[in-house]
Amino acid sequence: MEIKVLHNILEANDRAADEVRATLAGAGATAFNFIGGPGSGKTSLLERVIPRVADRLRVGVLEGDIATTRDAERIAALGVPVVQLLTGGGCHLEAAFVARGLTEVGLSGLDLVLIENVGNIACPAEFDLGETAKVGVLSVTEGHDKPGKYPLLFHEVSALVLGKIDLLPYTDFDMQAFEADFRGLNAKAPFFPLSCRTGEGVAAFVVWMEQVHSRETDFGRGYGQQ
Amino acid sequence: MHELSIAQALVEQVEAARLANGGGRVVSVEIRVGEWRQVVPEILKSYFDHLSKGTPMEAARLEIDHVAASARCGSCSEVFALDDIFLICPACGSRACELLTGGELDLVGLELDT
Ligand SMILES: Nc1nc2c(ncn2[C@@H]2O[C@H](COP(=O)(O)OP(=O)(O)OP(=O)(O)O)[C@@H](O)[C@H]2O)c(=O)[nH]1
Ligand SMILES: [Mg+2]
Ligand SMILES: [Zn+2]
Repeated sequence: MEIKVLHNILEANDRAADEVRATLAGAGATAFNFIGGPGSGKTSLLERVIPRVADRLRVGVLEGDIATTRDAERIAALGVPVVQLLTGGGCHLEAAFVARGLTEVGLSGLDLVLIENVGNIACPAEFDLGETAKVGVLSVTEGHDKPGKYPLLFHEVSALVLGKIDLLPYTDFDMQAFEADFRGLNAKAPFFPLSCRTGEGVAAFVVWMEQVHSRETDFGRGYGQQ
Repeated sequence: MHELSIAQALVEQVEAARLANGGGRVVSVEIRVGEWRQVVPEILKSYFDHLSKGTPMEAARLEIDHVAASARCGSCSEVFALDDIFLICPACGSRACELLTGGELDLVGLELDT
C-alpha cells in the first residue's frame, strides 16, 4: 500500500521553536542565535557586548558546546547568568534543548538572551531555535570565500559579524569579493566588520542589537522560518 | 553530523504515519531534499538504516528525491534556476530575490506491506 504524506522532517523542532518564540514574547525578551565556525570569535564577541549593555539591559547566556564548560566560565566571570548546554557530540543546538536552557537561566528577569551555538558554520543554520534573530560570525582568518561554500548560513542570518579585522593586514582577505558574495546571498542583513581585540566596530553592532530588542529595525527572517 | 538528528526525526514521523495507516511493515520511505539543505544522502541513509534496526521499518528502502534550487526575483518576478548559488536575477540584475525551491526537507510518502 502506497501512502502519500507531506511532513516537514524537522517539524518537531519547528514546533519546539515556536514554543520558544512564544515564551520569549511572553517574557518580553529578545534572543540572538550566534552561529559561526570553531574559534571564529563568538565567545569573544559576547565578552565585548555584555559589558556594554549590562547597565541598561538584563542579559542571560546559553552556551552551546560539544564538551567542557570553558565558555560558560568565561561568561560567568562577567557576572551574568549562564547555562552551559552540552550536546555530547551533537554538532548543533535544537529548540527543545534551548527551551530547557531558558527555564534554567531564569528567563522571566531577562531582556536579552544570547545563545552561542556549537562552533560549526554549517549544521546550526538548519535548526530554528525560536530565536528573534540569527547572527552569523565569521572571522577574516577563515577566508573571504565562505559565503559561497556555506550559502544556507549566509542566506539565513539577520546580521553578519566579520570579526578579527585587526588581522586584515596579515591575511589575503578580499573585502570587496566577500561583500559581493555575501550580498549575492543576502540583500538585507546588516554587515558589521569588527575586532574583539581592539574593540573597533563593536559599538555599531550593539546599537543594532538594541534596535532589534526595541523592534526599531526590520530584521528580515531567512527562508527556513517562512 | 546533523543527519543523525534528521534521521531520528524521520524515523519518528514514519512510525507515526505507519500507525495512522493501519500498521504493517514499511517497505520504502520517500523523502524530498532541497539542494540548499546540507544533507549528505549516504550519511542520512546509514543513520536511517541504523535507527530502523529491530523496528517495522528495518530494511526499508530510503528514496531521496533531490530538488534543484530556484529563485524568484522580487523586482521583475523572473523565476530562474540557481545554477550559480548566488541570488542575483539574470534578467534585471536585482539582488532582491527569494529562494523558491531548494529548501525542502520533507517526508512525502511511504509504502506499507500490510
Ligand atoms: N586577533 C584577534 N583574535 C581574536 C578576536 N576575536 C577572538 N579572537 C581570538 O580567537 C580565538 C577564538 O575565540 P573564541 O571567542 O573562543 O571563539 P569561539 O567562536 O567562541 O570558539 P568556539 O566556542 O570554540 O567555537 C581566541 O584565541 C580569541 O582570543 C579578534 O577580534 N582579533
Ligand atoms: Mg565559544
Ligand atoms: Zn529581476
